[in-house]
Amino acid sequence: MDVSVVFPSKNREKYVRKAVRTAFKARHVKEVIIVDGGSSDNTVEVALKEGARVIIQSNLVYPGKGVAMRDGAYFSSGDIIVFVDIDITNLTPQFIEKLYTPIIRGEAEFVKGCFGRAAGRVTELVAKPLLRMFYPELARFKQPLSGEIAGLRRVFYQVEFEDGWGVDIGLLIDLYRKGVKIVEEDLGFKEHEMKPLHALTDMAYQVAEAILKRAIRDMKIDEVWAKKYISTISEIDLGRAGYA
Amino acid sequence: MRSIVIGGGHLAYFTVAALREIDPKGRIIIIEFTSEKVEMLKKTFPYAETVFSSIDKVEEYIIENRSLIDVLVSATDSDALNLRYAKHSIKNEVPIVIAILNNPLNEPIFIKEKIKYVINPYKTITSKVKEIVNKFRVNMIYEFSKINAGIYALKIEDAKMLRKVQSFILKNDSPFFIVSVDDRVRAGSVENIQVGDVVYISCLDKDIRSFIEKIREGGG
Repeated sequence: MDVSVVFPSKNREKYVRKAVRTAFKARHVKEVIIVDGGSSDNTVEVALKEGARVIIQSNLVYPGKGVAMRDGAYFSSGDIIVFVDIDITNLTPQFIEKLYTPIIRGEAEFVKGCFGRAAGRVTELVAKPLLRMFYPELARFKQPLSGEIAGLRRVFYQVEFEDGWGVDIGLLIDLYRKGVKIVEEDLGFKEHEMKPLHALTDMAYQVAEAILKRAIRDMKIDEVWAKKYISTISEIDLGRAGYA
Repeated sequence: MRSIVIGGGHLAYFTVAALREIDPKGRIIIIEFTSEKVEMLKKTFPYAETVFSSIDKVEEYIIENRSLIDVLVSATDSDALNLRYAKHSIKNEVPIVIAILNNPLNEPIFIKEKIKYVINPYKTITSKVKEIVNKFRVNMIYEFSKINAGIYALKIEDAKMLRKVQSFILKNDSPFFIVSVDDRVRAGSVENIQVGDVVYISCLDKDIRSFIEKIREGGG
């Protein structure tokens, strides 16, 4: 089985060389793809020099993580597609191999990576409570928002990708609903840049929206109420409401 | 003419309408990936055939029908797919293969991958804004797709530039017309060009390139 490794990125010149080289060292990897968000540095040039295939994500909105992942999936030709964050400083070929090994062994069709550290703030405060409410069967995942995933190509083509930060939770719910065999694989320790708190606001909102949209679709929640809630939540003035 | 349009969004909408206008009796097949969109497309384009396909089956469809296809336009909302399908179609010798970009930043990548006909819908924004605001001495107004030529607008700022432009037109026998300061169109000979006019010249890129560089450097 051939493996395609996809790195969504923007202005990651300092990480791209190592990431591409490391990915090529992993067994079965036939191609490395950089889906660029419109870098102003030399990310693209370095990636091409290292032998990666490069495509710019289809929209100019950044971060459009879901669009970048979708384009990466569509651009790839391997039987297995692996998505990895480009800014992991302790990335090794073994880290990448661990992600797709359960698929090669026939134990899974989709693998969600998890790490030996506490899950992130959006995971603990938004994703997990909402999953417990609407998809309790998925509450067992330690890190449901993890961006380190692997899956059979045909599996990714069965579902639609959310445009933004809701993509990871959206994929998890939709693939579970389709009966895809999913396992969570402990990848050890991941060292990378932490997002500042303000950058998490959009992420939290988009994750909540992705879960609620699916809860409506799967008739787990009243549609009228939920749509009203989704449409107004981003407009609530937290200061005036006394939440600041 | 038999055409295939891949995708069912905005880009495909204008593509299908243009193909219909070019050949009202031609056969147009639209390939789309979501069943809801297929139903909508059937109503929007009753004269076209709509095919519901999975993303991975499109390449097979192209191979099976390659001897019947005159034009293939990849107009999905993913540039990754458009590049993939365009490359596959060229490999399978489809006579005319066109890819439409969602993100203009992908244009150099498509050109590098030898996609001859790449439509960048955003390009008109740049040329239109330049033409309307007209702050530069030279603006490229239109770039032809099949030949390396274009239409350029040259603003005649002084007598020196006037002489240069007149000499360029005569030397290259370039078709042109003149637009006065009050936006009136004038035709006629090179002698009719005056300082303050904008001259629209159609010419080959290779002929005008060095001339433009000199003008831009202020050597008009």
